[in-house]
Amino acid sequence: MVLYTLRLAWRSVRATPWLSLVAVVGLAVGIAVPTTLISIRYVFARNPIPDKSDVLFNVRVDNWDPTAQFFDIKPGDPPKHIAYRDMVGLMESDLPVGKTGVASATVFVFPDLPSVRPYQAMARLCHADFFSMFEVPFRYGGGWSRQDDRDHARVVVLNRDTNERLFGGEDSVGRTVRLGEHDFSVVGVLDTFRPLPQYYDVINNAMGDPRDVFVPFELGLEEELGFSLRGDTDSWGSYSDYANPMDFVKRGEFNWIQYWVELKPGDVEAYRQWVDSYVLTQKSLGRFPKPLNNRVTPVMEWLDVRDMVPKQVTGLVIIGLLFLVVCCLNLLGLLLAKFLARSGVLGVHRALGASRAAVFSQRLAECLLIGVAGGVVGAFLASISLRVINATLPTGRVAAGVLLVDGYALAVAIVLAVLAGAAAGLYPAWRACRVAPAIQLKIN
Amino acid sequence: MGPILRMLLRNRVRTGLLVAEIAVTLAIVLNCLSVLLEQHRELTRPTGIDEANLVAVEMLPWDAAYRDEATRLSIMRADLAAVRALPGVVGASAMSPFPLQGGGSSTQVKALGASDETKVRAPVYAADDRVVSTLGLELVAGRDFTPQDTPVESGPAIFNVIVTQALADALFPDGQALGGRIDSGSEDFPDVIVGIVKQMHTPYGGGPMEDRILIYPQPQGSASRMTYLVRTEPGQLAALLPVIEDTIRAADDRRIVTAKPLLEYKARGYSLNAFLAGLLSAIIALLLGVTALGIFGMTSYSVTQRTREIGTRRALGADRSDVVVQFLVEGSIVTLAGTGLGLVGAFALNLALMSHMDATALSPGLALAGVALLWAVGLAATAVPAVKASRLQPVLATRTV
Repeated sequence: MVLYTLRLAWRSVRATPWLSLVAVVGLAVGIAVPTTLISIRYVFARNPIPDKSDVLFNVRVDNWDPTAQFFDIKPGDPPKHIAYRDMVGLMESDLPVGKTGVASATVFVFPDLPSVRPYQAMARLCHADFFSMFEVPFRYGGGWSRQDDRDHARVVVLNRDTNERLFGGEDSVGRTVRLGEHDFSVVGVLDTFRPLPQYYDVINNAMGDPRDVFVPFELGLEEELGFSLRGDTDSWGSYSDYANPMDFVKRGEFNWIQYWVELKPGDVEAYRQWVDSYVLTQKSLGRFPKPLNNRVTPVMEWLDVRDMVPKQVTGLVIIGLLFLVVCCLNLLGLLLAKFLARSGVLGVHRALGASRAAVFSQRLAECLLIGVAGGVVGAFLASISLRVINATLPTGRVAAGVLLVDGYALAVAIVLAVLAGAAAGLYPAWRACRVAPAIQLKIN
Repeated sequence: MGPILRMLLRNRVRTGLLVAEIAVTLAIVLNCLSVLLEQHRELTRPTGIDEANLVAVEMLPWDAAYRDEATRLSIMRADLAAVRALPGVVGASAMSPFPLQGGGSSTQVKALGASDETKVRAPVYAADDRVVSTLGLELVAGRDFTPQDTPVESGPAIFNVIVTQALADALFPDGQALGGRIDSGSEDFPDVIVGIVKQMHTPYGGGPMEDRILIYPQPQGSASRMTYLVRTEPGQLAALLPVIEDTIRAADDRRIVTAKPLLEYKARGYSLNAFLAGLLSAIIALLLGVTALGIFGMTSYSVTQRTREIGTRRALGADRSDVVVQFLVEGSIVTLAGTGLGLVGAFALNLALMSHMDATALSPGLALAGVALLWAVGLAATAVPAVKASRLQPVLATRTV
């Protein structure tokens, strides 16, 4: 019976090929536009590490100038990153399961091959726990140890592309790479690793590729190694109190580090108190002139604090959904016109004994067919437009392939198609089944 | 008019659908246009510099020798002298950051001796001599930098600085900015204004365009990055790019040298604005297409339904143009009803979007233009079936009566 209904629906669709085509194309465009925009929003809004987002916390302490408003944060919030000396201080707590600073530096890589010119690489400065906390996948080897952090060991983890470039993709663990002035020993090579958004570094690299090389945090501060710090910084206080720029970085109110901890669920409150007590100790040393204002923020809340989803994208989603409304009204008009134009045929059906329910479900089947076709074509169009948009997006600001979320787009397109098909099909189908058989037969 | 209105009212549902469709369309189109115009204003805002003829040169040195500031300064001066000697080059200066590059830093300044409340935030550039003439900035008062303005040793010092008119006005409301002294954190080492330029913006391309700018005579860059700006004669830029790179590499090859048109940096800085503008244009075009299709479809259906009515009118003496006019008037009434409702919707949507998209308030002129645009689209979409209706033979049309 279902098959028979569908066959009749298909015949009816074919009976008016142009109208059906216009209906399907109109609906497909109406679905493709919001699907594309909702998919783009999803790229920014999704949870990048669902199984650990509740146990990873960003930590901020308010060391700011009491006489000046901080720039680029929400009212009442502490500065967006912390100073080096506070990272060192916060590292003292043994409460967290894992703890790491996150910052960036550039360094020159000198390949062994004389034919390859030196090139500048982006280095991630982090601590040993970085790799386990953020579930970083390794192709070869692994991260370094906390002891390596303490020893300022010259070890390096390469990302996949860098290993490809320097060692042709072989297992390079144990071999050396010259970074800046010195040789570093490779301890690990990453597998494909691309958290999106890159939650642990939303300030400098939210949508970009992870860094080329990863080295123990302290090495980035050893100027004679040839690292130069990169990324957003905020500072206050008189610069002339310090011997040189690096002294200011190490001892001054110079904020540039995103600091992360992993906590057991029961320890969060205790850790918050520990952070407050740390700041109180610093106050007694003459720092932290403002009232206590510290934050221990879980991943998703942190992304929200940093306005990870651009306002424009949310606005575009609203516009996209209204676009679908227009297309639904359009489809509604077309279907209504078609069904009423065929009142004569429907009248004959009714006169020959078809119940209202039968006429209704027959018309609805036809709407469903158009809805499914529109949804499939719409998902296809959305996938194409996401590719086009992805290709036109500026590289350097956004990593390649960021927007290729076909699975999600398909799911959105199907949901929208079902909703649109139902919204646009129910009323015309109802009108069709209300056709009075006698009058229709008499007119014709 | 009477019969037309009665006809429209009889087909309440169909008319209502079209009115609603046109209303929502207008609401979306007006808001998209508003954001689009805003993006366009950002993209075409004057920068105050001769951006089309400027080359930005970036150097990434890897040799340890570059860690010494005095060495960097002497390498830099030699590079600039060689570049200035090239035919087709109008001027060259070192500058870090350079306009439109993205990124940068700012400082808090006040007039020396003024209260803390008068502190102003000012984005900072560091540049070498001839920066004003190289960039093509308009000098309002004072002079350009000379090589003597740059201190050889770094550390606390009294700097000669160049500021924009906007910063000069903010720090010295009495208009006595030239020669004025600025406190940027240390009262013992105030900076002295030696030049005032008319207009210039932050280095953050595409970001907030602040125009209170402070230029320091400290061009040495850092041990890992130095940047120059080179101004070329009109039309010479493309040919000079490789020549400039080679000239600088020939002086010292222990660095990565890239020379790119400044407009390339600008395009990258504004790429998200341009992208948003493109996306909105596409949405507007698709939406107008869908709505035109809808109006076309409904009018066509109406024509087939009213074959007899049209035939009767023709038989009773109405000529073709009367039939066309009838459909166009019908269409216009529906469109105008839709746009009237749509204007209300547009302003409501605008309020919602202003909190989401930094959208600006809709202007009445834009609203009027939107109504006219939709009316034109409606007329065009009605015209085709209307002309088809007017071609109906009265005989054929009335045959079934």
